[in-house]
Amino acid sequence: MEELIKTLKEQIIEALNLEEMSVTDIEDDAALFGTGLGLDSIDALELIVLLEREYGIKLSNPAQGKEIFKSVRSIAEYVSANRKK
Amino acid sequence: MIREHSVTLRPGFVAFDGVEITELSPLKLTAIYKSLGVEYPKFYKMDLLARLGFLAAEMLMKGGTRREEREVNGGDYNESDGGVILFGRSGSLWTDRNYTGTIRDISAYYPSPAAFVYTLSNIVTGEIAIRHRLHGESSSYILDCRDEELEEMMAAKALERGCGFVLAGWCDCEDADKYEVMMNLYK
Repeated sequence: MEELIKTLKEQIIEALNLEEMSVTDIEDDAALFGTGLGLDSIDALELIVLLEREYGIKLSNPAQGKEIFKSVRSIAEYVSANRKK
Repeated sequence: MIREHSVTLRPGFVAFDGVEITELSPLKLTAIYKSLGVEYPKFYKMDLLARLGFLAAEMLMKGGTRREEREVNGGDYNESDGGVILFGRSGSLWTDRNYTGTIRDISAYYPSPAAFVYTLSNIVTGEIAIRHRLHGESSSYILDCRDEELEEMMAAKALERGCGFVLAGWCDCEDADKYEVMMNLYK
């Protein structure tokens, strides 16, 4: 899980152009939206594309997103349980 | 109408009020952004055209490229009555190409939302208006080549119609190695 969390952080930094950030700047359990990293709705769409492109996961129910994208750890847990590649 | 400040940005060249800023000229756009001491994380999500417009507007609105200049010259504008009128040749072509790259291959069809939102040439004026809370005239035009007379006429019209100041000029980006910004602050 720790390796997946690290990989996800690297992919998020690249996909969302968080040029100022490094893997160590993102805490595993910190909120990604709102008060945490401050991501916005376009970033959420990029994360959906990232999951599909890198892990073959299609989010069919947008309502799931709120829980899945709560933190890097919650994304990692979802990816780990649902990845197709 | 007076031209209060002017900024020129080309690869390897940055000038403010007609004087080259030699410490900024060799820098990449991200390094220029950092050197201005601006805190605006959205900059990193902007496409090249928006980054160029953002940097030029930042220098114009703050009255310089150095912190001490900006503290003396900046903040002299009522931002709500400002306008922004930009002209360019390439529009959003650079980003259009990038976005197309994400949908070209049907076996790897992952359209990028972050690229897609910049596939309009007038997004740069919107980014500048949001950043500086400009509520006046906001428009962008595609021209084959720069027409300074037209720029000044449009800026003068905007001032006549009630804008307190106008950021106006050429803002064009073909790619990372071929761009040109010549933007002015008119009052």
